[in-house]
Amino acid sequence: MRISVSREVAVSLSFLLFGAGVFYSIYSIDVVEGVNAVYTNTLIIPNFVSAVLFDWRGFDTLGECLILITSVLVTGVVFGKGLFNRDFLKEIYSNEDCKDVDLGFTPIIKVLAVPMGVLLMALGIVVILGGHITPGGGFQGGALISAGYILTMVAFGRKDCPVRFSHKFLESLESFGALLFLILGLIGIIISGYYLFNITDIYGINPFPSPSGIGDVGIIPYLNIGVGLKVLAGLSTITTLLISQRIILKNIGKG
Amino acid sequence: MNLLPLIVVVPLIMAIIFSYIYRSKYVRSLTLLMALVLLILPFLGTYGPYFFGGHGITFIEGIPLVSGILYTLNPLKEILLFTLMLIGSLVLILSTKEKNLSGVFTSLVLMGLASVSAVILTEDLFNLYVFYEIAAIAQAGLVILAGTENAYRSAFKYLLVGTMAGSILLLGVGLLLSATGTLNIGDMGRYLALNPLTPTVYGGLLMLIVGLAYGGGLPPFHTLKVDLYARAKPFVSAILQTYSKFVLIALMLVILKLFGNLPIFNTIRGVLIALSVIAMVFGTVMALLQEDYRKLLAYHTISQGGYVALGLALGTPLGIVAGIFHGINHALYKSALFIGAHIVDKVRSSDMRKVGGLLLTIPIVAFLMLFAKFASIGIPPFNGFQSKLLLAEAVMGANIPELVVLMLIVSIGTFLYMMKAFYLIFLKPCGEEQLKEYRDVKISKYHIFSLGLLVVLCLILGVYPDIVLDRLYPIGEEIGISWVLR
Repeated sequence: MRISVSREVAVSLSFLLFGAGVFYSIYSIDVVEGVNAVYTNTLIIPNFVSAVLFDWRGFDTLGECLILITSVLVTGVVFGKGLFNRDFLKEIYSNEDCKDVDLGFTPIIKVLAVPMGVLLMALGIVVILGGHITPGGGFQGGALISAGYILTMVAFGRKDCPVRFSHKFLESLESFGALLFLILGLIGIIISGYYLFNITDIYGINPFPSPSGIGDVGIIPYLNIGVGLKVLAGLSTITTLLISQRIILKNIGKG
Repeated sequence: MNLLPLIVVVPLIMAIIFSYIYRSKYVRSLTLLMALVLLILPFLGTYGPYFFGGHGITFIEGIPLVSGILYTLNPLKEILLFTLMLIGSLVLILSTKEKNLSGVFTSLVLMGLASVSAVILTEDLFNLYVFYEIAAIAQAGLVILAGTENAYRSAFKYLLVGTMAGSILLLGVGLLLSATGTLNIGDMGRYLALNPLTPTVYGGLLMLIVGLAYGGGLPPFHTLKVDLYARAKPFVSAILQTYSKFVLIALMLVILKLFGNLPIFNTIRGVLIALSVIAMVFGTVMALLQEDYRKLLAYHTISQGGYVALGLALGTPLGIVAGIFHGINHALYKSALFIGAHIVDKVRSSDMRKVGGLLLTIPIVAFLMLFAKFASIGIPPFNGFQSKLLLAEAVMGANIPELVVLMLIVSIGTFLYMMKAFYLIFLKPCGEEQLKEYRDVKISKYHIFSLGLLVVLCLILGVYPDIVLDRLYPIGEEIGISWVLR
């Protein structure tokens, strides 16, 4: 008893000291403009945030996408994808029958979920395609589309869900989105020698056409589409894994 | 044409492809092919800076600032990358002999290799943070692949603490960005040298040290790392500990570049030396108590990580060279020891009380493991002797002779538990029935080949250390602090 009390006192004291240090640092913040002057004074596309994300710091955005890809992969591994030894999971799922989770919601929610899901998906597509002009972009649009999918999935259960994305389809979509991003970067190496170079013309022809009136935006809309596909597939895959036991049982070779 | 980004991009593309075809029957042959491709990668780049997206240096009020992301390649980074890719390809070759191999394992190993190479190459703090996170998640996935209950538990613990430590590191990067207005390490160091330090910079420094301790396995996060190395499959632990060591070296170099020439470096040096000494002593004392061979090796990894951190924390040119050289040597002999543990695990089990008398069945493996143990203790003519001698020289040069005594005591402790393990596994008498059981297990040629290759490399580096040291001295002179402690 005494040990636990002293341990709690030590933990709270260290928490207080560290928290006070962090708050003092943040309280005395004084922002230096530095390199941000370049970002705000150069027009690449109308949306400055997307310009920083996809042009100056495109490689960081690629890294952020890959964090999501690795997380989805590791979530699959937790549910038995490609393990060296499956005995532990077989033991856990030995008494489970192959039934999907149906939370049994009322008709009111079921009736409302379909139009709201459709609206969310349409809005997500608009946000992805207009990422370089309007606020938003690939991450936000992908999250909106997967939110529509998750809403219908939770309301109806996996079996009679009106929006049917199969697990294999989502995997292909995710791989395609990430590979699109990586390969667009490689084209930049071939043309200019720099990875993720923003290509606006080759021999006077623009290989990546964009609508007139916004100037030459180069590859940024296409990068947005790649990120959007990847994010929607990743978040939907995680939900599918959490809601359906059939995939887990298939992974560990049962049923 | 400079093909530097391909070092990071090719493994990433292959990782995505492997995760897509994870059930195909060609996974084994493709993995072997990938292991050969990895060895070519470190030689693709040319020395010097590389600007992503073609954004070079812009001048704001006469001050040069890097507006995009900058990678640089120099001889030090090249030798680190080559060591990393060599161990990665050996682990991939060994994995083809496993029973339930799938593309997921290859994919996670490649993700880890690409992200650690990016952490080594990058000159940009936020880019470093992004790839550091990928490396942490990939390590947890590699541990879960072992599939036992303990592996699940340790990986979840690692991820839980990792979310906290990663967020703290990100907050530190944000604070440093707000205080200096740039993310490039060289520009940031120049700004900090010319302007007075604010509390914001101190907060950012504290959080960088927290991130360093988590990524490199220094106290107070060392127990998580021990759990990881002990629960994963032993040949996977070989690549896991290489990831941690190189992340430790990269982040230490970042702290030296940012704060090395400031008066505050005295305090930082005290904190880092304290952390590394705790790691050394704690790792040795705990390893003396272990009954399980894998746990013993895991604690040994922590204590050697203390050596690496000690050399780099001194901040003198010789100290930096000695620390990095010890890190490279450690990656080599430690991977050999882990592969040996994998063979012992295959034959019987990793519990040292249950095995014995293996010398009669696998004499070649026994002698190779004995040589790897000699290298880890620091007996000439192996590489551990050279780097520990250099470390002792550097510590004496920095006027801290007490630490040399401590290093000697830690080495004696290492000798004790390593030899105890060797006796219990190979020399302890055992019955006839056990020997019959041992003879039924086939050891593949791949295991003996990779073990032999690593031991031969240890011997070569022990006899001709200048192969590596000549590449390190200029970098040490460049980064090392230019003033002497009174």
